[in-house]
Amino acid sequence: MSSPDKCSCKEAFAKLDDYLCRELTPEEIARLEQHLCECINCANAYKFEGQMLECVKKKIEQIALPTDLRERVRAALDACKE
Amino acid sequence: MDRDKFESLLQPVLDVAYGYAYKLTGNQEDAMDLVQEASVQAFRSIGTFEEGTNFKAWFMKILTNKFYKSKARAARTGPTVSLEDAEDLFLYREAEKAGVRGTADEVLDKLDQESVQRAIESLPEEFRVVSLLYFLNDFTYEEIAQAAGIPLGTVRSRLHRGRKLLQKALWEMAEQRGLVSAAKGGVA
Ligand SMILES: [Zn+2]
Repeated sequence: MSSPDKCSCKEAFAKLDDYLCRELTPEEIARLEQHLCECINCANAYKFEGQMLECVKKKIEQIALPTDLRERVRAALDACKE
Repeated sequence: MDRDKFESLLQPVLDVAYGYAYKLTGNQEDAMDLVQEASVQAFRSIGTFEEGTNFKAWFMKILTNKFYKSKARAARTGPTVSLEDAEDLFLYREAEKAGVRGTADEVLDKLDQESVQRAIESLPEEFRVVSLLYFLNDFTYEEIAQAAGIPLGTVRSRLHRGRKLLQKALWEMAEQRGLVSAAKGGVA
C-alpha cells in the first residue's frame, strides 16, 4: 500500500472532506476509490462520514414557508419603486 | 431586469432562503423579516447581478450580510458547543467505543429532527453559516465562498472544523437523551 503511484491512507484521509463535498477531479476520485476498494479501514470511515452527512441533510430538511411570506415579499417589492 | 424577471428568479429560492434564515436567527419572525429585507435589497441592487450566474448564491450572500448586520444576530444567545476536543472522525470513533460499528444511521436515526437542528444551532456562528449553506443548498465550495463572503480556503477549513464540531454536538445530544451510553459502552 506504499508504492508511490498508489493512494496512501494518509492521502485518502486528507481528501475525505473534498471527496464528500465532490470537489475532486475525476482522476483524484479514481485514485481514491481504488484505495477504498483495497483498504477496509478507510472505506469504513468514508462510508460512515458520508452517511452522517446524508442523515444530517435529511433531518434539517426544509421547514415550511409561512403562508404569508410570499405575499409579504411581494408587497415589500411593490412598495419599493427605485 | 424587470420586476417579473426578478420574481421568477426569487420565488424558487424563497423556501431554502427562509430555512436558512430560520436557522440563522432561531425564530420565525426574525427569519421572515430577514428574507423580506434581503428580497428588497436584492431587487434594489439587481444591477450588480450578472445574468446567467448563480442567483441563489448571490441572493444568499445578501441574506447572510443582512443577518450579520441584524439585531436578531446581536440578540441571539444560545448554548454553543465547546471548540475543544473535536477530533477527526469523532462520531465514528465514539460510536466504535460504544460498540456501534459501521453505520452512522444506527446512531443518527435515533436522534429526532429537533435534536439535529439543535446540534447545528449550537455551532459557533462562523461554522454554522458555512455548514448551513452546505447542508441546505448542496453548494460547491465556490458558491459557499460567494454566499458567505469568505475565501475558498476558509470555506474548506470551516466546513472541516464545522463537521467535527457538529459530530461532537450530535454525540452530546445522543448522550443527553440517553440514546447511547459511553459509560456502559453500548447502545441504549
Ligand atoms: Zn486506507
